Amino acid sequence: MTIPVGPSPSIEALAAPHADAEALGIAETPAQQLWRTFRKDRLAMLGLYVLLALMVVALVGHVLTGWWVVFDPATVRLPDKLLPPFSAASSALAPELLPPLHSYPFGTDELGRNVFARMLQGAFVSLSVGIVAVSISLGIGVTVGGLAGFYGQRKIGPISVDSLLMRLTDVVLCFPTFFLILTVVALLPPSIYNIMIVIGMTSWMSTARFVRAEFLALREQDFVTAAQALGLPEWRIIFRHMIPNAMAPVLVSATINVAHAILTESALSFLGFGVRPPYATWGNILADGRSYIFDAPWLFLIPGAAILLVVLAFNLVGEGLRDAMNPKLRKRVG
Amino acid sequence: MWRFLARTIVQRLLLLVVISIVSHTVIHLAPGEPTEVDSMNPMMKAEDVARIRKSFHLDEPIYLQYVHWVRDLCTGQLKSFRDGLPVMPKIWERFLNSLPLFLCTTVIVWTASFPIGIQAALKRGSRYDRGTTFVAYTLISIPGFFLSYLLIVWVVRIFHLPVIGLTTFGTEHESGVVRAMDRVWHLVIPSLMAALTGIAVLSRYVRAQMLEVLGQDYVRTARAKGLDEDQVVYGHALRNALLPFVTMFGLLLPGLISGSVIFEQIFAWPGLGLLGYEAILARDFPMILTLNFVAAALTLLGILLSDILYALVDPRIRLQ
Amino acid sequence: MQVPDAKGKQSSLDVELTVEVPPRVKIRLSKVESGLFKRLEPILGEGYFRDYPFADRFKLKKPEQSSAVREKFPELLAVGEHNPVITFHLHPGVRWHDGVPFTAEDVKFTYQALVDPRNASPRASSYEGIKSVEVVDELTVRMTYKRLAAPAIIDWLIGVIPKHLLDDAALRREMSKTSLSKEARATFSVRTSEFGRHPVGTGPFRFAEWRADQFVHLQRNDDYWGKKAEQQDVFFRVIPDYLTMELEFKAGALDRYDALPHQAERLRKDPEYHVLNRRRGYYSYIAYNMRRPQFQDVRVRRALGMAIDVGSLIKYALSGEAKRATGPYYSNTPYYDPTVEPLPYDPAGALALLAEAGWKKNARGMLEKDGKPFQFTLVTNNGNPQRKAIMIVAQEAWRKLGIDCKIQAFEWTVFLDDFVHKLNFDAVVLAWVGGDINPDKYQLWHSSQVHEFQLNFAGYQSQRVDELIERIREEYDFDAQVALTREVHRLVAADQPYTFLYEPTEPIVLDKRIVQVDRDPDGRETYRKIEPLPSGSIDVFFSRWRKLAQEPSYAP
Repeated sequence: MTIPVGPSPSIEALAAPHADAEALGIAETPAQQLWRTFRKDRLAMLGLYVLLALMVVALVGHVLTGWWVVFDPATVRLPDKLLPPFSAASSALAPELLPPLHSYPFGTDELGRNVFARMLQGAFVSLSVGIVAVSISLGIGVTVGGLAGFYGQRKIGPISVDSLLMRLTDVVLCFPTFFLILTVVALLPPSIYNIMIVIGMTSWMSTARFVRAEFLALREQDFVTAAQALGLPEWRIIFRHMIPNAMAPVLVSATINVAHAILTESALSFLGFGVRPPYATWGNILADGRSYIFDAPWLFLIPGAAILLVVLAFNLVGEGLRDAMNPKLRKRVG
Repeated sequence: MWRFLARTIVQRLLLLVVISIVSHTVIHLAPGEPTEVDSMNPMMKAEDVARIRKSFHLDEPIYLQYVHWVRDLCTGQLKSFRDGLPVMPKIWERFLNSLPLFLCTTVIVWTASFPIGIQAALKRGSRYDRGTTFVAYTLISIPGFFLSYLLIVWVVRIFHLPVIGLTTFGTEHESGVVRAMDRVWHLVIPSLMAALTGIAVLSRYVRAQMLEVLGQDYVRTARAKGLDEDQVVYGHALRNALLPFVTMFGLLLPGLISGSVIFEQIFAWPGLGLLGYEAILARDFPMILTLNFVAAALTLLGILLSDILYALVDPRIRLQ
Repeated sequence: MQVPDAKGKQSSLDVELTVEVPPRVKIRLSKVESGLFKRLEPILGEGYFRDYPFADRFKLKKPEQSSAVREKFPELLAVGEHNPVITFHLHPGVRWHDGVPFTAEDVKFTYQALVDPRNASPRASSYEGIKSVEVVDELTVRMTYKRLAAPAIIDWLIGVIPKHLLDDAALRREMSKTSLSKEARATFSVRTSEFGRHPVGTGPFRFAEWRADQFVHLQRNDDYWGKKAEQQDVFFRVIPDYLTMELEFKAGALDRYDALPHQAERLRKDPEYHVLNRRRGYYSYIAYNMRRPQFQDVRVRRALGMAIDVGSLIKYALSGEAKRATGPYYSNTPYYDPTVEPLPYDPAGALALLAEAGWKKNARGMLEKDGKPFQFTLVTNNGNPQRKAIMIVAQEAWRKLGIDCKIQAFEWTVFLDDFVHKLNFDAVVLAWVGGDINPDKYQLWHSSQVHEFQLNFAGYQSQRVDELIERIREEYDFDAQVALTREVHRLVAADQPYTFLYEPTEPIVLDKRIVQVDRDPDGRETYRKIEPLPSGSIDVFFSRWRKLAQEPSYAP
């Protein structure tokens, strides 16, 4: 079940990151400070390494399975079906069907397809869905939260902007997102882009809340008043000054949202929605592998472990960022 | 307080109307004319569109369409495409099946999260804290459908006990006690699976809240006054830390429909989630729309509930 | 009447005519003599029946219509008419499950329902040869046909439906109890009646309950006229995936299920399980919608079939548990022509055939003709791993040729209603089951059955096959009939409206405690282990199965 991740309890503390640095008299940028604290968290660093590895693997995999095909995820090799990981290809195969190095690092599935190649293809899908969906949600969330935070008290007719936008957020929060996503996927043609867009459009709420809270706090800051006094146009104040400062909690929530998007996408493909065969995603490899759990457990365990690893990495990095940004925790000794 | 409540209730009712309008507009995602149907979209065919147009009176002006829908919904005229039976009785029946699963899951989540979270906050930095942290993250990250199957296979292989469905098939003739025990057994595993992620998230939240509160000045004051640690933690800190959870309680209601699609499918539990999934596969549009609306209405109910609880619990509001 | 117009399409034409019917000779034979009229020709004159001067007997009000209507004359005035008669004597003391006696009226009603256009039965074509059904008395039905009908008795293996629950009076009673809209009332028929959700029959089991998506429950019929069943309750459980089926079986909540080949392979080695191989008339195929332009050339269809390595599919994906299918008849019947070779696996040859048909590879390696790429969608239903495997294997095989094939699976009823019945598909993966002993393939292959909701959904139209099918229906000599069916088999195999894939053996996993109970004349029971009959069937003695507390030791 999903529990909405509400605003972090230490949101107010994040409102003025520069204040601490100046108070402590340390002459490093907030970013460097963040990085230094982050580095200390071993689990978070592990997560970061995993993510970097994933990105490399996904990109390289996309090339090697799509353009300059070394690992072909769709080739059917019936004589070699259900081989365990690290098996060698059988000699019964025609030469053009042989996999690279004549072996299957992750074994084969029920139709003899190379599971390693399919996992590579799925890696790219998972990662791209996660990133694109979250980018969309960030875009919407920052806009809504920023507008609510900055223009909050202005009124459009009887209702204030802030109230209106927050009610809008409430409405979207009301819908159980997974079911809504399923509905939309059912009505629209099956395509990976639709899924990215729908996930993006249903996960911006927490970002909006954070940004709004940040903006509400930042608006009272001196530098904003100064900029307004100088006559700078509002959009410039928002985009060049306030948003960069509000990014801290947004970054945390974005990382965690990517994890959630990847889980959602794999759940959708597990249920049979999403990309059509023969394209592989980790979710549908798992779904297909489920019937062979007694005969070929690797078909089920490998994608499951992969999803777990990647989502865990994102979560660890996100939590690491959150801990690194929390000055109260930083300051406390022991 | 009453004024706050009254205002809240009115606001939420307005929200309900807005949600029903939004739910209704989802049907407009479907192609408007049979000719607009994308021939490469196997999910939507021209005949479907004609049927949808007729059922939802799409040829009439939009406000009339909405009125038709609401009226059909309330009078039981809204019929499922699948077998022509009215939609609401089916939803009610499946809701009754989902309810025990939801209640059991909620109970497990809430009773387990608090002790774990509080202990982790109190023993911050210790092995317990780090251990539970790691386990929590793992549980949040593991796909529910993955873990469930592993568990099912393990249980069946080792214990030869059936896990799927509401009851063990063939026990209809057993005594009431055996049947009741069987139902409880069948309830345990899916609830446990569904609860794991909840426990992970909630216990983290509890921990964070406790840490926040424990760092507050009044706690330091209480300690300085010489109050015994238990009293500090449970008497003062906890009560204040609990406030946000009251609101959270209401927001868990949507879990009745959303998270359960996967688990109900895996465990063949005939509840709302499975109803929705089947409706989508069978392209049963009246059912799909109604379920979306019911889901949203339930969420709204949850928010309202949490607002009320908040009003009751937060002295700042209560004393207004 | 319906007559073909200048383009050969059937259209309605209003014709007024008078027929002068000459006196006729009635000959009653004790057995069917299909060559009778030929044998009478030496007496009547050579070509008497063929050259009969119909025009003399018909007077058209509008003489200009005569050329269009001429074809219909032999139908309107039968010169030599065979009227085979079948008389059925019903078993006495048979009752419907609701207690009403089963009589000849029910049989007559079933016939009327089958041919009633309101019911749109796809089986109607097998019964339109009936001239009349007469209820001689409560237990005797006499059916008179208007032409020779060799498969008639086989066609009457169809189930009989109860008149008292489904005739017009009963339907009106049913409608009055429910609130239906006007349109619904107008189309209310046997098809839409409540009977479909609560059927009533006369067999050893009666219908008890259907809980949607969960199970169908049958109970023993204690009033059964024959040997009563062993089992009190039988449940057919709805379990949507094979893993769950296996888990439920292992946990004891299921006594029998149809296993997938890989599951069967594993379970056969395990002494805990009893795995049986059922064989019955069953073949899987890929059907092409011959109304679509890319499938109209037989070379294209053959090429598509030649690209798929069915042999490997059988050997590896089905663990060898299947036989190549070559044509429309099942290999376990004499109607099947064993000399027909299956399509060879020859991708190079396939490319050559496609090239002949005008499909050449373009710059991107995809096949193209007249600037249009070779592209289509292959669909099938969910929940069937073998069909999914076929789809993927076919897609991959065709991709290598340069054909862009998209695949998609749908829920079964959506698949049937929206794609197959509405003829709204490019290609489908499906299978035919049953009807083994019936040589009549009219419903599947005759060119008149190509409309919506009918079974020749591929749209196959061959004049020669039509003629043969019509002759098969009238051929009572078994050997002559077999010769005709074999020719049909050869012709359809050559035309490849389907890519015929394979005839699978179906592994059934059974709880070892289930035995067949045989009673000898003294009433003593012996237990026999359940095995398939020589025909391959398992369920013939299903009502004699009993589940014991533990596996018995069988008598040697």
